[in-house]
Amino acid sequence: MRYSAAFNLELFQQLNRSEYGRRLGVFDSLDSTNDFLKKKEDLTSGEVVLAETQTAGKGRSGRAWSDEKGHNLLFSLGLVTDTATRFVPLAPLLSAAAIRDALSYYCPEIKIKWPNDLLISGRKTAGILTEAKTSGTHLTLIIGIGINVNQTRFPGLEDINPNSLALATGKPVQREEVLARVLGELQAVFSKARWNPDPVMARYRQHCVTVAQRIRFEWNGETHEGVAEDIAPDGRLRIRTEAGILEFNGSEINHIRTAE
Amino acid sequence: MDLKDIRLLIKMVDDSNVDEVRIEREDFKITVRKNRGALVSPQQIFPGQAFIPPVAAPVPTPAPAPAAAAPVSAPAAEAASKPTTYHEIKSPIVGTYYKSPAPDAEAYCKPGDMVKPGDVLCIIEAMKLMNEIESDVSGKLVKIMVENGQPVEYGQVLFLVEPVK
Repeated sequence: MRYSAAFNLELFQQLNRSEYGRRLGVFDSLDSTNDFLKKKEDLTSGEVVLAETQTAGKGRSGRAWSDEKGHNLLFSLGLVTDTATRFVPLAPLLSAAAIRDALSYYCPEIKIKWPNDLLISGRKTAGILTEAKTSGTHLTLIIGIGINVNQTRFPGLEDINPNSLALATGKPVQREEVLARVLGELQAVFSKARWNPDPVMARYRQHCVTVAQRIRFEWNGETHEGVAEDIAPDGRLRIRTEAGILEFNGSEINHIRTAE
Repeated sequence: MDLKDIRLLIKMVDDSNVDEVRIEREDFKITVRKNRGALVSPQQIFPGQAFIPPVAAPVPTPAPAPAAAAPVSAPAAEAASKPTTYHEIKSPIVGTYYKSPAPDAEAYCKPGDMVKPGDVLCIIEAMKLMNEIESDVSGKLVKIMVENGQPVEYGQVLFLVEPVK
């Protein structure tokens, strides 16, 4: 197997057991797979779009997701649902739990960093950007996912020092199989969460590396320190600070790192 | 059966056509009834447990009426003085209201704007999930009910739109 190869749609369809990805668009290059699905008028639930590179791929704080063509998986999943769906605000965390389950096949030690990053050996390996649009009771959920699969060098990202499945396992990994596994777990998680998200959230906590750590984080432009005690049922991080126990959602605080 | 199961049971009854469900087992019995204080079970045998689930439910329950009722008193009074019925655009999730796509960007909309289905009116953000709220009607945006950066509840009214025929 090679580190870089064009995405094989036929092979993926053979491997895919999920309802998700039955409709899959593969593009050489897109601005952003999330924007593509958001604008798509005939979007069907479970539809996936994959791009070999993204010219305006969005990551945290507008930073471009580094992608070497043909090496990684950059895709978005669209789910058409309604505003009564209970799990929508938890979708970023549920997605992280699903991706962790799927990628643990390759690296059992993969962990979640709250709220929705995936780390191998403490280094970022996959990221998620969830968006939605609502009109009346009609809600479209767009889950953008980037997974470093076969990229082994990350020039310009030395400060982040990302990891990849190939780096962690020491050999190239078949992207089609990774995508099929990830979509399978996403479908399993969302069909369970539709009924009750709590069991998935329990598994999330179990694999979340942020919990029970002394952390430093940025809030309102200031650095704070505390002990991350738990993930609240609504997904917020519960931090014991000197001021008391506070809960923060994923956009209130950032740059979370271990405090020495 | 714990509180979570009871919440599910309430939702189940809420979503269904039935008005009342009664479950009796050896150690407990429970009745869930629509539109009347939901739970009636004086001889419940979880002594320590308060029966009404915490109001600040972390995940929005799709109960049609109660959540939406509270925050609209002011506009309701305003609306009452006029014969027009405004179309309400509500928040689909618990989150934070943002009037523009970025702090320094122009607001998606302002009072007096004509809007049509598909126009983005604001973002409700929760757990880094940006939810673009679109208008589902054509009409004139009469009032914005929330302030930029304000936390909003599930079902809270965000905008009043005067529909055009």
